[in-house]
Amino acid sequence: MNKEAVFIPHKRKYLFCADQQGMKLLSDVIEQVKRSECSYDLFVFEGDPDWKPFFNFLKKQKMGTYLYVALNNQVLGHAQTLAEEIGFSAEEAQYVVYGEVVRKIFCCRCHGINEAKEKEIEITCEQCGLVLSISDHYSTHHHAFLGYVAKL
Amino acid sequence: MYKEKTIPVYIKEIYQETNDVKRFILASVEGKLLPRFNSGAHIATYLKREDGFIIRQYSLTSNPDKTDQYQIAVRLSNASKGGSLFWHEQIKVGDELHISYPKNDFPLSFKAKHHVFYAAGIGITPFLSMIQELSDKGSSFELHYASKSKEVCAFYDYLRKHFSNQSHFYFSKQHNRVSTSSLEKHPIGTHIYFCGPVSFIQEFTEAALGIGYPKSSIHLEHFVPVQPMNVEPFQVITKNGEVIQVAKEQTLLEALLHNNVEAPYSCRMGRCGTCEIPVLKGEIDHCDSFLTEDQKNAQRSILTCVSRAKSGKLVIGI
Repeated sequence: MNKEAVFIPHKRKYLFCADQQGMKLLSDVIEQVKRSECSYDLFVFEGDPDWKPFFNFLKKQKMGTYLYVALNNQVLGHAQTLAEEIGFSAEEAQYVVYGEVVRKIFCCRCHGINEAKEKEIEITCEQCGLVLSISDHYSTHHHAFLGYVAKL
Repeated sequence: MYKEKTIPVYIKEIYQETNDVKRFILASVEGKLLPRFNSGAHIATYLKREDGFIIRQYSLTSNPDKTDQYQIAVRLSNASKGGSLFWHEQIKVGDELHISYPKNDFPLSFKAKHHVFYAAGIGITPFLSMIQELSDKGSSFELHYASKSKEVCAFYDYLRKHFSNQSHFYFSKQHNRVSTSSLEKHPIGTHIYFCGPVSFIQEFTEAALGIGYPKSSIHLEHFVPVQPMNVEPFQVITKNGEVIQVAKEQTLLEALLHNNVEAPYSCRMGRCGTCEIPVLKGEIDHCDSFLTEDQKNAQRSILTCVSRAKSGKLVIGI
C-alpha cells in the first residue's frame, strides 16, 4: 500500500478504482494517462463498497491492463485481495491508501494477526501476550508485516 | 574429459513421429525408477563417439509422474552438427547411453490463473509435460501451435485426441499463421510461454511487452542459443597460465572440458548461469540470456557455454 500513485507507462489500458476522496489521490496519474492518449476506465465506489460489481469489473479485463485502487485503510485490503484473486500481480497494480493507516502484524510465535498504528514500532500480541518488534518485512501470504520477538 | 554426474539408460523403444521427428523411450539400465521431474524439465544426453561425446539437451515429453521411463523427441536438423543426425541414423533399440539428471529452467508459474503456450515446430516438446500436469490438476490453459502442415506437425494426433478443446493449430502451408494479435485476448492473470526459433520468440516477446504484459508473466525457452554475428577461433589463458585454444566450431566450455578443466556448467544454453566464470582481461562477445545489460557491459564475467571472445584472447579466473 502506498500513499501516492506513480504513473507506469507502456500499458495498453489503465483502470482507476476509487471513492471520491481516493480519486483525488489518483488525479495526477489520470491526467498523465489522458495526455498519453492511452485507454482508461473509471470505477467509482459510492458509500459502502459493493464488491460484486468491482469483482466483475476486474474479472473482464485483459492482459496489458494496469490497475490503480485508492480507498481508505478499512477497505483497501479487501480490494487488493479481490484483485489478486483475479490475477492482478504486484507488477500490474498499485494500492493507494488515505486516512489513518492501521497495519496488520503477524505474531511470529502464535501466528495471530494484530493491528498497529502507523508510527508504532512495538506492540503486544493480543493473542499470546508476546512483545513484538514490527519489521518492514511484509508477507503477501499473510497480508501482514512480520512481528519478531522484542522481549521475552 | 570432465563430465557431470549421469544416469545410464538404454533405448527401450523408438517411434517415427513425423518424417523428421523421432520419439525415443529411455529406461534405466539398472531397472530402477528414474528421478522424478517437474514439467518443462530437460535432460542432457551423452552420446559416445570415437572422438568424445556428443552432448545435446532435450525436453522430457513424458508424464512427470511416470518415472519408469522418459520420453524425448528429436527433430532431424538440417544444420545438424552431429547431434540429431546421430539420434536419427545411428541410435537403435537396446543402445546404451548416459543422461544427466533432469533440470528445469522452464517451470510453470505457480501464480498464473491461466497458462497460454505458444509453440513453433519442435518447440512443442517442453509443453507436452506442462499441459499434462495442468490437465491432471484441472488448471486452465490453452495451446497455440504453429507448424508448416499437419503432416509435419509432431504430436498432432496426440494433442487432438487428448487436448482438442485447448489446442489451436496454425499451418503456414494453408496460409494460416499464428498472430501476435491473440496476445491481446488473454484474461488478466495469464502467464504466457514461448518455445521455438529465436525470431518467433523475439516477435512474440516484443509484442507482449508492447501490449503491457509484465516481464514476470512472460516465460521463454530457446532450443538453440543466440549465435554471435561472427564466430571466430580465440584463445583463453587460465589462472595457472595454461593457454587453451577455442576452435571456431567449439564453445569455450567444450574447450575447457576437453582440456580437463573442471569448469561448472548445466544448461549449455546460456540460460542458467551455472557456467559463469570471471574474466580478468579481454573483450567478451556475450550471447547469453542470463546476465543483465549492466553485467554484460561490465565485461567481468562470461558464460562459457555460449559466449565467446570479441578480442582474440581472454584471461579467465579459473
